[in-house]
Amino acid sequence: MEQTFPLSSVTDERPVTVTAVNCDSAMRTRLQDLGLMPGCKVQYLYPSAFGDPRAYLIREAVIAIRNADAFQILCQKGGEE
Amino acid sequence: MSRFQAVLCGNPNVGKSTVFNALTGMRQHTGNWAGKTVESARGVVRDGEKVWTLTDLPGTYSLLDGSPDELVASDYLIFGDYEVVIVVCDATCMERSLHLALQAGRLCPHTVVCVNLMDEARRRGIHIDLTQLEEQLGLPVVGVSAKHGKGIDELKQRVYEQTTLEKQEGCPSADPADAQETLRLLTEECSQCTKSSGRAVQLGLRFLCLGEKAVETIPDLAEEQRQRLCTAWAEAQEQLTVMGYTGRSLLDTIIALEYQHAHELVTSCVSRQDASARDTWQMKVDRLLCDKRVGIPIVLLLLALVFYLTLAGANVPSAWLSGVLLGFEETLADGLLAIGAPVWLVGAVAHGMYRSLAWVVSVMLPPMAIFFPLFTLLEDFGFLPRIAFNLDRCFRACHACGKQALCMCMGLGCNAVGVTGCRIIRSQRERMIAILTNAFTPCNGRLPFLVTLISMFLVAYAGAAGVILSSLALVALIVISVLVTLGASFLLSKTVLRGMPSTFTLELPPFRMPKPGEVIVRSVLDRTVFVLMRAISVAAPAGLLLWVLGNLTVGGTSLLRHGAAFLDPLGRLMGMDGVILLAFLLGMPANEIVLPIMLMTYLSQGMLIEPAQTDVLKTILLSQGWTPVTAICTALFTMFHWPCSTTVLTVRKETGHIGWTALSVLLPTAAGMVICICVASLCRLFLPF
Repeated sequence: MEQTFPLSSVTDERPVTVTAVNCDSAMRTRLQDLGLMPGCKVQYLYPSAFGDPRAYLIREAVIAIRNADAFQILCQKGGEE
Repeated sequence: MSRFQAVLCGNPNVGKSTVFNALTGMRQHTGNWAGKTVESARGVVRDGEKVWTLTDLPGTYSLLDGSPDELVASDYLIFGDYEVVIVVCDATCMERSLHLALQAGRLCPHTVVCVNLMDEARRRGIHIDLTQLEEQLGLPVVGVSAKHGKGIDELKQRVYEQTTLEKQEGCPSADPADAQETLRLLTEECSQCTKSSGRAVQLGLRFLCLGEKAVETIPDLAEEQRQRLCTAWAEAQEQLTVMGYTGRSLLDTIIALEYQHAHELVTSCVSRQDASARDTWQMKVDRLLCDKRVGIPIVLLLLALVFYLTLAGANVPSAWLSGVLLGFEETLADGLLAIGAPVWLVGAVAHGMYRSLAWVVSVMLPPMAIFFPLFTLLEDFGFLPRIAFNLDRCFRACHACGKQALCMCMGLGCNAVGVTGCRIIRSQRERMIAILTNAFTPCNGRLPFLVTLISMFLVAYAGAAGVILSSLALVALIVISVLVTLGASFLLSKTVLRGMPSTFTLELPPFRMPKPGEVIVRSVLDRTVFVLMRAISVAAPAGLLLWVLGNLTVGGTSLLRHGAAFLDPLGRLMGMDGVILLAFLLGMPANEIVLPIMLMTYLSQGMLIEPAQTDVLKTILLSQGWTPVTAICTALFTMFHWPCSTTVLTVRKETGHIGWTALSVLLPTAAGMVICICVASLCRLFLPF
């Protein structure tokens, strides 16, 4: 079992794979609609001017997620291809 | 069948409105950000003999989301009248688009998949095998570049074809095998309330996310049927529990399966030349705009540039227009006299109504005709979501939503538009905050007045340097308005709109090169003319009222003067005077006429004064006792006072509540009064004026 870490701690652009989404149900549904769910590949892109939220590449779209929410999204290294 | 109905659905910001416009030949507003279209529009498509109606649904990410704003689209798809569904997909973001297409295909067998933005995909090295996709999806697929009108004829044809086909089955449901029987039973009960089996399946799935509340979303439901549905759901729930599912977890599984299906389709039908082909220049621009040091300064500089171009460009045509229009006033008066009109009528019509109109047109039209196209360029380029992205941190600290920044950008054009735009905010509480504070952003009707004040009293330079400094001063005022908006949002979320910041996700669309021709046509025809017509429609009656107030005298003094004298103590307290306050009150129909009312009252004239040269204006104001402090307080009050009548009506419509509407008037008024009184007192204490 590979080690998991929150999405908010990712600082480079290597893609990671989501293993669990522990946000509250409204946020989880929202992320699900955008295609972010366990097994999905995510790539960190860049922060906003104040460092929060940060932008991620999710299924070819650039989506901003607040760090508090990204903290609830667990990932592991390497994207499935 | 040559008359039928079709609906257009798709993810936000995939160019749905552009497709809608291309099909119907209409001109709906489009913009490069998710949530631009908040109301469903309807239009007619003519294709030779065939005529059909098309409904454009608000953008939706999923038909299985239980949140109120997403329910609008799925409500229409389950209960509405239509024969064909057109799903608009984004060729550069196929996985997510196909996820929705699969859901739509399951709901309606007559679904046409329209893959938009084919040209953009090609530029980014993405190739989509449409034939292959059509085969695997089992639905007709049409590639389109709606912006350039490419593929639209084929789309019309394929849509029409669907109405001639007898087709019962859409895309297969993505149900996990163990739950299939349970869902089938539930669907069967649901089919009593819907027109087709696909719609029944969709209604059944709605129970999974909403639970028993789903029955409340069914229109005209008989009590007996309601009972049966509730029983069916209770039974289904029981069975699911035995299998180890909850409604939500089953829905999760279904959505995951759908996405997996979409992923497989993309793997076999979409190829990219370069795996990391997220265009590098896009990333560079994005990094620059969102940089922690230069990001916000760049945004402010761009804003200053827009103001500079607007100010520098508007001066000459403004002077010319006012010359021409006001020159016509005498002709009008003479003409009226010639046909035997009484003198008071000539005064009311020519010097009252017509002069107000001429003033408003000449002061407003040139800056708007420059500002709106520039602003639309930024909007189409995809600039606005970046502002929201950068500022979200500040808004969240005030327990509000970063998307409020988008509404404020809209408000810069027109507050009424900004208030309507607040619908993009999902949380009711945060939307209310955004609505109530929108009037803090100075709209286009107030910007020219602010500019006049700045150039008269705050900037002592003439020529280009003066215009640059004025633009910068204007940007400073915008920054102040943002800060006050944040403060007011904070105050609201600590008092009447208490609560925590809600969920926030914001899509940052790729930058797109706007088409200048289209931008100009759209911004001038739609926005400029719209706002101008609105201003004209209030300026004429307001001009009449002013003329009456200015010419009716009680005890030798006009009613205007009486009103001003009454308001004078309060005005003085706020660093202004009674005349200025009265002008703001009477200017409620349209902020553009505040300055003319002021001048008219000062000079005790029964009609509006011509917008003369700035130095003449300054002499008049100085002779009335104006100081720089008066100018500062007036500028502040221009930014923070009651919203114009159109905005108030829009707030009433959006909130549906008279109390909130009243608050939307009181909040900026109170803020303005407090700020002006503080500034005036401080200035009196420390400045030698």
